[in-house]
Amino acid sequence: MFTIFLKTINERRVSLVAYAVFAVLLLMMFMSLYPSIQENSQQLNELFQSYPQGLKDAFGLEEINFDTVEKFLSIQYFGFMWPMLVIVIAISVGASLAWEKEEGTISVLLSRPISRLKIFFAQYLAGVSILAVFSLISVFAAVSIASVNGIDYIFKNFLSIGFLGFLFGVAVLSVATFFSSIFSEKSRVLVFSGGMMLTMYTLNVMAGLKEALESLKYFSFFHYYDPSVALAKGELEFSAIMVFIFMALVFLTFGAYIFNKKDI
Amino acid sequence: MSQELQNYINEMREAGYRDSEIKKSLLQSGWPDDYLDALLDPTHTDGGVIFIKNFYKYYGDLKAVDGISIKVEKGEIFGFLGPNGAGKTTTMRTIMDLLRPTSGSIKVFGKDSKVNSVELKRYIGYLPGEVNLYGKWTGQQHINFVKKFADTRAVDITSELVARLVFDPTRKVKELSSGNKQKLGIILALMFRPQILVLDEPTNALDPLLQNVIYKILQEFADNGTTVFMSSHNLTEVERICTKVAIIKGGRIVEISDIKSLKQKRFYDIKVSFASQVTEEDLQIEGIETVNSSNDGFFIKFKGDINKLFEELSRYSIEDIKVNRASLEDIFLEFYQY
Repeated sequence: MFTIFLKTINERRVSLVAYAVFAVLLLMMFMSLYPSIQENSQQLNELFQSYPQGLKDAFGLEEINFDTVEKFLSIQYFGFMWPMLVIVIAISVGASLAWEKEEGTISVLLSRPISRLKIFFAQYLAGVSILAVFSLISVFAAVSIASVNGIDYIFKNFLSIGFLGFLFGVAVLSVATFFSSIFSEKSRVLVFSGGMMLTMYTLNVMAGLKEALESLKYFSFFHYYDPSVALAKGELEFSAIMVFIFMALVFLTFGAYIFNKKDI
Repeated sequence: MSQELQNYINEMREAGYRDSEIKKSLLQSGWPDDYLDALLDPTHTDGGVIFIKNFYKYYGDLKAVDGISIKVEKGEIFGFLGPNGAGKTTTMRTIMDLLRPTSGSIKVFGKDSKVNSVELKRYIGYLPGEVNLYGKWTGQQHINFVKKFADTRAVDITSELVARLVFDPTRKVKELSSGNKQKLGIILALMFRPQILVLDEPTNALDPLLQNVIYKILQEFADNGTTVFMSSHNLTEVERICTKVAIIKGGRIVEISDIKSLKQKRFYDIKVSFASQVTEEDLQIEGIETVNSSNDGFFIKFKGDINKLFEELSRYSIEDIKVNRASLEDIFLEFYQY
């Protein structure tokens, strides 16, 4: 099992480094902008307050405030770009099984004395590890850059967003792995997993637009992944943690069951 | 081979040896543990290595395999023939637990290929019909990867195979020709001298020289007790190395026979002309399958004892006769066509 785990990590090594470098570069860019933004935070806050209420509701801009780096990054970086990177990493790693089936290389694995479940979980755990490394790199890069630039920060808040983002990534990885066990084409896994994320994002936006649609937010991972709480306030909501863990387990269990039963 | 082993076990038992003692001595001779368990279990198999029993595999309405039963004995090189889409690859993939039977069972060393797949794969070397490998890896990386799954007691003959197949393991797979990919696939299947080889068209894409090397290697493996279950479209190759064949068509077995018996089923193509007046009705002789007349005489397809045919034909004045015996390839083709 460890052999397949290492194989998957090795295959993703280059892309992980590329994503991590991209994430760090983005962080450096935002951090370099932050001192001047902080100086003008009062004017910016007033500007945001003048936005139409509907727009603020839709995109969660109600509590926009750039007086701390955590609040700034929770909107500018951890609010969109970072979860997008997490989704891309999670789906691409989750699609590994489908890729092996599509390429026919799954025969190399399945003709060895190792069970299908071990192959499944080895690849899944490799994905979890990659997400953990990416989250840790992001968190430590953020605090390191802040330190170097003399920006005050609260380490605990960054740990909170790193942990929440990691759980969010694991849930997405489970969704992609589930589709990967169903389909034998990587493109279909990307379409279905990506489509599901897009749908969830849309539901979350719609929930903010109209009171009658508010309950839709509970069907979206993006409602539970809330940097304005985790990073800006340093709080981890129990319900968010539970939802991510529960959804990850559900998709993982069904994925493992299907992969173990299905013809390959 | 299996019958000999069974006889040996029976003799030992009669001589008063306990099963545990017999097993211990046979283990030292290199017989696999599970195979011996199966042989020593009186309720179990009679020594067959692969048992396919009433195996059906349907994909919706498509009957890929429609109830086949095959027994492959230890040390046999068993040829599995049939036209494209007949169900050969499906059967082989099911032995390897890549596919699951719709019904029926496949047992290897007496154990269910699905339930005990992990254990059984320790004894099986598998070559898929399409050798798909990791393009970015070199041959050596593939070899190293497969080695990590091997039993520590396994005999590694990789270097010997690499040399005999003239394979360069330092090159990346994406740079290899289809023939070289096939060589690597064969090395990965054979590198630990498995007890069973399941090979889907093993000489596919190989040149005639390398085909001969493969035949030799397979024969050596079989001589050492390895059971080979292989599919092939190369009828000459089957005639040359297989001891037994099963012919599958439309998901059903149309013939199972050893090569010797199959050869006896060969028919004769006879061209005969007579000095006297003979009609097609006169040639309604037992064994004659078809008679076609032309200006040159009669073209007869005959199956059976040729002496009896000559007896019948000699009742007429023969002007000229030419007899050709069909090759084994013709017999295979006959099965393919019908």
